[in-house]
Amino acid sequence: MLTIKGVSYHVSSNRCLFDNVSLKIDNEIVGLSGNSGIGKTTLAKLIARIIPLETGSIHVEKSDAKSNPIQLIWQHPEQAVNPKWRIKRILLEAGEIDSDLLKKCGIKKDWLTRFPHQLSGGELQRVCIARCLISKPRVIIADEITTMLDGLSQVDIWELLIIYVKQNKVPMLVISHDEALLNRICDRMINFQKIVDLEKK
Amino acid sequence: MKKWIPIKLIVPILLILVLYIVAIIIEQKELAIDLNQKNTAPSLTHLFGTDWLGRDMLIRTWQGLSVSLTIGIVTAFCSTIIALLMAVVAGANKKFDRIVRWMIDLFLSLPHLVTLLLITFTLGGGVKGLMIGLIVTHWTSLARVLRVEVFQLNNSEFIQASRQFGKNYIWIVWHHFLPHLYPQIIIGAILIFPHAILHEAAVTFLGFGLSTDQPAIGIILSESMSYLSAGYWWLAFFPGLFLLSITLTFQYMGKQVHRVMERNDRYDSGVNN
Repeated sequence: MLTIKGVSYHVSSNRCLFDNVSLKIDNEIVGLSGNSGIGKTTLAKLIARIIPLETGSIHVEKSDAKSNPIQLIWQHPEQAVNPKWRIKRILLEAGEIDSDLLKKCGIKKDWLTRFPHQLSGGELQRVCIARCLISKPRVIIADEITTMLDGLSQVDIWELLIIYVKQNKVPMLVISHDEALLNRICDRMINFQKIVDLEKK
Repeated sequence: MKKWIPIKLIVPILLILVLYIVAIIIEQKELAIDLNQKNTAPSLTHLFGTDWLGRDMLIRTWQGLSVSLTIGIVTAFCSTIIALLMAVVAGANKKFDRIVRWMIDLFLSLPHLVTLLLITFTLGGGVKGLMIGLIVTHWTSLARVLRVEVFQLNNSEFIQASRQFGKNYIWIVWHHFLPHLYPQIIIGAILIFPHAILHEAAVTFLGFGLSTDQPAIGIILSESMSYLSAGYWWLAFFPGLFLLSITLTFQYMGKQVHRVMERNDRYDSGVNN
């Protein structure tokens, strides 16, 4: 369960991207849609504490792992991994490698000795997802994670994520422009524009 | 895969080691002054010619090499360490970054040679004073390069991801930053090396560095200045050539170190091991 209360973000001292946003996600998959540039990714980074919080609060179940309980999966997998590391080391950074999990993510054994540039975009995104799942997150935020992939890879990736999330009762926030995609995979949809406008009134 | 021996790396290291050891051995010998033989051009008995006191220039150059090499290597090493530390400290948080930037600006705003002279003079000259002066003044440009590099890495997504997995700054520096920084570090160190030797020569030339009885390359070069117009070209040519070849050897060594380290990044080395 994830509770966000009164989160704001200011681009500069007089321009506010969004103000006093509140959200509540139970064990469900929630889609967040909206036009470009209205702050969806910024909200994701605020929730994952990559950008320090200005106001408001974020509550999530505590976990005993060293990692952040809220894990973000990035839009560009090739930027989210160290280009000088082998895949095995990239995965180990998040914790112990579980070969069962790797199989579920469709990661082949011989990828482990490769470097990121020796994998395709879809393969690398699987690695990033596996890395995220290895850290045993309590909340997953997926920020446009399949935008650059073809239809088949998209289906594969969403299938494995949805199965994992349902089995482990992990809430997931899916950010995308693609409303058709969100309609398919999400239990509930939120239009970010509407929340922002609501709070501004 | 056969075990790969980096011959191209071992050769320059051996070359420098041999030069250094020979230099240490012949340093013990006093050079005889032979006024009958003064200022003779290079010949079979004196390959590098003789100076105005009739001393053999080959032996003098070789002896000078030991002092110059020591100064060059120690300065390059210590300056690089300082530059790296400064860059890493600057990357830790914004306050430290401001302090480091201020220090770099402070050292760069003063003319290099003036700072060096002041520090060396204050410390009483000699090899030790000169070395400290060189170390303290030569880290700035490399530190500036490394600081920007660290700044860029700090903002990259894979470092942010690493923080998400609960890694602290020291861990990130060791595992993420150093592999990305080492090309700059090696090149920076190699560039500092000739710089340090030439500055040592400059300070000595101005009379604040080493005493003239110490046979450093810098001293030999600065002494030969006054004889060049008289046509005694060998006094500067051979020691200068020696210094140049040592510098080039170092540069080559740096390139080979880079190659050996890059070798582990190849795909096949991981598959077959």
